[in-house]
Amino acid sequence: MIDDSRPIFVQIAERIAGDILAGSLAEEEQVPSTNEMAAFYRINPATVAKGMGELIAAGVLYKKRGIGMFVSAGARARLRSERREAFVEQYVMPLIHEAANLAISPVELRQIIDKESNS
Amino acid sequence: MSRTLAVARIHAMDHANVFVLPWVILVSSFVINVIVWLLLPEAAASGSGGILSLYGFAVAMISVLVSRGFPFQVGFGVTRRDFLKGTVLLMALYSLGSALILTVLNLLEGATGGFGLGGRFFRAPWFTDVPAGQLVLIYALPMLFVLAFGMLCSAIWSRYRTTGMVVLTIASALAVVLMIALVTWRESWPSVGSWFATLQPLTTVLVLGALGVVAIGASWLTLRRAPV
Amino acid sequence: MNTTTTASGNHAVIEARSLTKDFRGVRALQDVSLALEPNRIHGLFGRNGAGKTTLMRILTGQELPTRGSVLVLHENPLENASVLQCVCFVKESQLYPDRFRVCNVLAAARVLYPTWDDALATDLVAAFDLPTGRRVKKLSRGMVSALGIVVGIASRAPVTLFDEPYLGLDAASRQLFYDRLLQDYAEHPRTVVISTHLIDEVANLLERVVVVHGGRIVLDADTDDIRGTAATVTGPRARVEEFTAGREVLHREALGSFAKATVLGRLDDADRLRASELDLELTPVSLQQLVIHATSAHRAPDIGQVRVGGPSVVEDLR
Repeated sequence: MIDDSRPIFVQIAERIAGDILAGSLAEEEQVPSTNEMAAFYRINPATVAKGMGELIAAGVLYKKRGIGMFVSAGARARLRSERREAFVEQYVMPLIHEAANLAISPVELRQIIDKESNS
Repeated sequence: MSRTLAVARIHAMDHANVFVLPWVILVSSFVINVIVWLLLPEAAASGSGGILSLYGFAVAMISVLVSRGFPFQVGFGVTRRDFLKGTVLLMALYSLGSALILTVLNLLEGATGGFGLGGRFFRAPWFTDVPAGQLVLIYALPMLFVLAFGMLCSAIWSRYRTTGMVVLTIASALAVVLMIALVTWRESWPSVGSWFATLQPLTTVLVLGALGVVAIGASWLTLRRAPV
Repeated sequence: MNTTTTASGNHAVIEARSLTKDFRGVRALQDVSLALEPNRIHGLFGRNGAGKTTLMRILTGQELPTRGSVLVLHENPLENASVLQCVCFVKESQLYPDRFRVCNVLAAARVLYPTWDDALATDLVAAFDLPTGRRVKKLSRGMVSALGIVVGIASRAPVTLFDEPYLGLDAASRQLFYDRLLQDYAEHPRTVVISTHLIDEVANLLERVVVVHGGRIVLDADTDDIRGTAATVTGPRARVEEFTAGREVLHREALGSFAKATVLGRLDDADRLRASELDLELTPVSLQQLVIHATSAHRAPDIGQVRVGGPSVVEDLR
């Protein structure tokens, strides 16, 4: 869940973003409240608020006064394009490197990817 | 509610020490006296010092209230000044309250001729041979004095601990010895004796009351910088 | 009143300026300066005897500094009734009158703290399973701690300090404390300072960390600025050397051909990629380990320089 590698508010923002990308949080849907998330993760509510603040600043969430936080329209698309940039460094490069370790040629690698993607 | 009143209220939460035990002790002392009066009628009128048990216990009561109450209340955010004021308020109320009860019992004893046995328990000889209007003061001021004295001892303990108590004991003994030596050297025992003879109960208790106030002042100076 | 404004523009709720405290030839605190923002949860860490308790006692007016000044809620707390009724100090050395029962202690707190919430106190007493009719003298150490915690949370005091409040409490009760504190803090914000040895247990609650060592402040930063500022690299020795070249190394260990090194500096995706290319394992360093590094005798460079609530301090260290 929460780890030591980066500030908690960053992890909270990532988690909410992850839920939006995966579709578990739909656009215009209400996000759990700051206090609810704080109690669930056993963290400081101010930290949750900071994480949500980041997402508001990025246009992923918006606030309805007196009600709560909601997922913005177009949030999913916005997050996708951001994540695509990091995708190469986070996932593709390690994949290529590990394949090289196991003496899997690039051609073989492409075949494996095709096979797994279609199944 | 003011902090002073709050402090007094918290002291009073120790119901046993403040409201129950003093009277248990007084009643026990009284019962013992009654038994003596029944067995030795001639002893009844001379009066024992039985009533002093209440005053003696008061010293114990205030010592406990201050020595344990001080770190507790200051630990809960009470200022030392408010603690002193609240404790003095408690002492004043306690002195007045017990004085009123004793006055009523004094008058009752008088009206019933020593509870039908000619006994003098509440009508302590000499001290209470005063007009009824002075009775409350006669009972209250010595109580205030012993309470203040007890508080001072606890204050010295709170600040200086065992060392303080030892120094206090030695200093007091030394002071008494020096006074006796001085009087003896000046050969003024006769004048001391005649001075005692002319003493009036009212002036005596007023002096005790004044000494009590001095003791309260000394307690403040001690508690001001006592650690908690 | 000349109070310090912290970097984020808030007037400090707790402010210490060059505090020094000597006890019979022993210097317990040396030139300690602090400015804590209101309505945050702060952690106060340090080894035994480092000066945490002395600092907290001075902050609550129970001890006088030898030199320096303290302001709590913009005033000197010493003998200051209006400030002190807004400050609740839960300490493990708290004494209670011999005959007092749990209910008497709660009644006293009700009288002394204007912000006291009785319903909350009753709820917490039930949660911790405290026998209200029992004398405090007869309570186990854990129950006395629980009583202190009940008073601390139910007081709703604008400034609430806990000095090692968990003595004798089992893990489940400690978790209950953290959960209830967070819950009430979320609904009724207040300034909280917790001094503890169990750093990792409270790490996720804290917004700011202050570390005291040898009477001085050696670390004073937001947890967000410290988290992730160090990592442990494990793998073949030569590769570890290669990766750590040019970085500040806090700690090194070797076992045969393997090595483990703790490096200072926030690692980004490029670093992570390089590490995986070198077949090195990267593990984050916990807050507890960071604090231990800050207070160890052989510590290398400082992890976080003293800066109040500022932006990430790590950039300067790279």
